Amino acid sequence: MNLKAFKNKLFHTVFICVRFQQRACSVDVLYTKNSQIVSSEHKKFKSYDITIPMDAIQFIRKIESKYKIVYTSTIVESITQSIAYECVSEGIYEEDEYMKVCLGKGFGAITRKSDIDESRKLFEKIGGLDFLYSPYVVLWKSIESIVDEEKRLYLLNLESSITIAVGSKDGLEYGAFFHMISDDLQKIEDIPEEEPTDDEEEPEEEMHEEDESLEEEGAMDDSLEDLDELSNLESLEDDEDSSELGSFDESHTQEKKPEPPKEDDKDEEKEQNPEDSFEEFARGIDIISYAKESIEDYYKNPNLDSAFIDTIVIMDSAGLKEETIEYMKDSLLLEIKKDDIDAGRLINELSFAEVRDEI
Amino acid sequence: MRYSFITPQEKKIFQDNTKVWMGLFALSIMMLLVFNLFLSYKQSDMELLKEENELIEKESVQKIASGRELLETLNKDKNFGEKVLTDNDVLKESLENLFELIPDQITVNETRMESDTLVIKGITPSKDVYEFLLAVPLKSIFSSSKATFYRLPNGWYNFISINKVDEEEVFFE
Repeated sequence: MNLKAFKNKLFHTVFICVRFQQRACSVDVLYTKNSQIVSSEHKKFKSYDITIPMDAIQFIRKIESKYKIVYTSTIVESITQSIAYECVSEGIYEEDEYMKVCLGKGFGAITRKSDIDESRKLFEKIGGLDFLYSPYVVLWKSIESIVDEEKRLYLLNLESSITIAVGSKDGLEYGAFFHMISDDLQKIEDIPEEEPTDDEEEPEEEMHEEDESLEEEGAMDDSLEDLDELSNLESLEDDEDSSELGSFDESHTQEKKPEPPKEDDKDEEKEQNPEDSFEEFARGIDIISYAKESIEDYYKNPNLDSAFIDTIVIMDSAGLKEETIEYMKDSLLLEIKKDDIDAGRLINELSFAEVRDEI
Repeated sequence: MRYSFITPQEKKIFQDNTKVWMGLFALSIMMLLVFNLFLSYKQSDMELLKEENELIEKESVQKIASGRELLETLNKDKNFGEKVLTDNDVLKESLENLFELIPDQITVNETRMESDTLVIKGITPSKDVYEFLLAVPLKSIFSSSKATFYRLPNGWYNFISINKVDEEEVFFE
């Protein structure tokens, strides 16, 4: 038995995935021991820019001080990354200014080394970054089991980004990445210091029915009436108040997964935050525009043997509501399927598999 | 399969300062073990030395005992030698005294000394000369003195004088 296997048998190995979202920093924790998953945990911390907030740093440091073997991971959030075509076999390849991860024969993901260095810098405060994945890897790993011969547009919907790829079981042949965190939006919005509690119900704003044409410019204002339809959307769960990390008691061993959308509870409709509904709807509009843009780009690309795309498969980790999906179907006139995934857990499991392979 | 653009950092179970004191701890244990080995070696070495010394001690004791025996023997020999020397001195003195006793008229042919007996053989011109000049001093020295005379053709006499002393007065041993 080598030293790594000995350490793995004796100590917990903890994987922490940190992802940056619109106004939060999401931290997914996966606890393993002896190559077995013991438990997982999910927390969100308020964050107003793409840095790890102090609360999250303290939380991660607490884990690092308790469990000595802690691996941190995240995904590349750079718009310069893309699909790579010149791949021979799976693995990591290094070029002059780029790094390439090949997912199969003839396709992979490519990103700039400078972007990798920038991602590393974000994690200097918590002892450095251990794993950095391309969102195309996360997308491929989440669709690997469902792809077939038919080419479809696959969309990875993360809180911070949209990753779009066209592909089939033979691999991915087109890719596009879009950032969802807008600096302008953050400046304009009045970000509350405290999340509204159940007792502090905010009055629902009266919406005016206006023209429903969804142009990209001013689409948010024009579609405010849809907020009524989306009024059952749930607010983001902020777990900051959850109990401190302790031993593996029951409260911490419970896996916290995104809950499926609820449509029937009218009491909850009254309590939900209209600001979140607005953001949800705005996200839907963004996804529609990005999907349109990608499909057009895919069809126009002379280097690709473009096939007709009639289905969009959304791998959703941001909790898109059914109403938004319906709205997207109406707008794009395409079949849209949605699969819920836990991207943080998926990334942690990728890291876990890499560490396990090394032992 | 590796999908990450970067390789993970090596994870340390123990911090650097912990490793330092653990190293020092291990070093001190090693030093103690080495010292223990050294002491064990020294102990066995000393035991060997002790056994050798015990053998030497036994040999020395034996030598001392034999030396004492030798000394006693030598002392005895010395005493014997001294006694012989003393006896010789006494004998010499006795002989000198004896020869001084013998007068010029008497010729002594043979004397034989034993532990308590003095036998003198010789020639005397007459019995009277012997009786007056030799028998008197002999009788004063010895407890018994007897003389036997044989007449010679020329008128002189051969005589054999046997003189004895009591055992308590024996001076020839």
